[in-house]
Amino acid sequence: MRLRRRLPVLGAGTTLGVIILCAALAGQVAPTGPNEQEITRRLTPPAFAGGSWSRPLGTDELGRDVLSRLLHGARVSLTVGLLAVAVSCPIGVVIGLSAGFFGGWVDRMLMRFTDIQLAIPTILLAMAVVTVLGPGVTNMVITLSVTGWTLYARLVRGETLVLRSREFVEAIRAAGAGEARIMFRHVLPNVITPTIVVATFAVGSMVVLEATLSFLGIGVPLRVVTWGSMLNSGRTYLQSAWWLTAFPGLAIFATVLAVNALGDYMRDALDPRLRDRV
Amino acid sequence: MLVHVLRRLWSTVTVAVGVAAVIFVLLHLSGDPVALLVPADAPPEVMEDTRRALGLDRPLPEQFLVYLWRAATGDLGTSLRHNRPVAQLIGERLPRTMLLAAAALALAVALGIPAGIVSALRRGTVVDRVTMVLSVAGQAVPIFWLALMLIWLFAVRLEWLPVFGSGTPTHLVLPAVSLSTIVLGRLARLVRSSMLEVLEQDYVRTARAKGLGEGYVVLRHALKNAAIPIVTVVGLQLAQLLGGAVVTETVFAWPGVGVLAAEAVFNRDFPVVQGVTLVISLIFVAANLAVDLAYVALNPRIRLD
Repeated sequence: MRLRRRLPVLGAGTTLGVIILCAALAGQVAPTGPNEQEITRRLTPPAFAGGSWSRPLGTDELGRDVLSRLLHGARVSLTVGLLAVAVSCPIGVVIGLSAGFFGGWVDRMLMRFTDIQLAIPTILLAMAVVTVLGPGVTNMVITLSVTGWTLYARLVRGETLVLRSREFVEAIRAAGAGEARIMFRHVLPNVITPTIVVATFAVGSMVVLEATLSFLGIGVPLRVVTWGSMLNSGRTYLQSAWWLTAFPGLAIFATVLAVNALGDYMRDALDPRLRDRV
Repeated sequence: MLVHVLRRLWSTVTVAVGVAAVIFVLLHLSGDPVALLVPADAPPEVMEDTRRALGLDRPLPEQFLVYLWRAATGDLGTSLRHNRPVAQLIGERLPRTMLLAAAALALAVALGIPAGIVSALRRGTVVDRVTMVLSVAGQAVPIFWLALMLIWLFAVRLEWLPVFGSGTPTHLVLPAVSLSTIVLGRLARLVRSSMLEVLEQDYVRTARAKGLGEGYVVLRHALKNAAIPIVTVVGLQLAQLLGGAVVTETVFAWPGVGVLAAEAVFNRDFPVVQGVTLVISLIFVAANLAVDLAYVALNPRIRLD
């Protein structure tokens, strides 16, 4: 029974582990380079659909190996997603911590700004920021980070509001600790757990957002392979070469599913109160 | 009650002005708009004249107030690519986007709420497990990929539905189904958890003990009380739907504001990007206000407060 309950998280962990390993070792395990063309073998179907085992997932319109591109694409998609979370999370935490801890006009100002950003649909905000910054991997990380911090700010503010009136904070203050020390040494460690849970879910959202922007052709430059850009170029051949869209989409789907399952598990294990919010 | 409504209205106005400010700043960060309007080799005096004619030589706060006033009066500028008023371009396409979002939301509500109720009533059974697995999958699937797969299956292989465009009700089916998955999974899970909570309450047990029929108990007593979080989430998901419409419209060549925005980003047509973002955000802000007021109407405790 215990094993049955743990099956989803075991499956999610294994899937993510395999994807991360493939991304890290793409250069070693991929049959070819991501942009290596073999024009005589263009649009070869996957091996199980009548193709050859030397190109297990088939080739694209320029004869590039789909499996190799998937593996190299994983590298960019996951790196961008993880970096975006790594940048946006601390920004949101500091804003939420300041708003909740200081209250008053600081809280009103920061939360009103958060509300303003939340009123702009993420994809449209991302599109507007991309229009300003232009395409590119670094710009994509900045864009995703700009859109992502509000999630943490809201959560951490709520947690901090509860914590700041708790007895242990009063006791530390009475003992003469400064505000900065109370905030970063005593309140912050107590908001880390829910933040980690939310950040786990956010990785999946960021991977999808990056893929969406690249799919729309405004994400990373064409020469950089990501799952989203593979879908963008593959959709033209949907009628004749389904594998060009099926596999990158499945890769995104599997990653997000695994990340969400892991997030669910972490939430239930670390902070079940979040069930209604995340 | 009146104080609550007035406070919410004030908050809505400040958020709307704030959204306009963010978009205004983004436009100015994107570089000199004059450079996009005149040829690259235009003499400096032509650039200066254009800048003066557009009021871009004025201080930024003054420019913002002018922008705000113009936006409030329906003037969102002129498209650099189409050379037509942005408000007119949006006005022509917005009804189609709203139709798509409304159809997707209706589909999600029509399927998500019954699925959540059945799942809660049949807790732990195969029906419950299958519904929850589908809900989790629905939340994880990228809608543009699902849209492509639906095209491949229903339009290319089976030839049941048209691939692209608009005009007939059949054109709406695939875009609405793809877009509805954004809300569907989340809604089904939420209805299930809300219903499970409500079904354990004393008043539900009392209703059953009185001999009322199960259907009556579920719909009149349980669902009515589980409705508050459901209405909130449905309203808040509107932003997701309008955002998702951008991608869905692009895949299906659905002629709404989403396609307009995507083309504008591609062509660096800043006034259109700015206009679409502002209009969609204002719709979201208005929807939020409506949800809040509906929440007050549904929850008498707030009215008494």
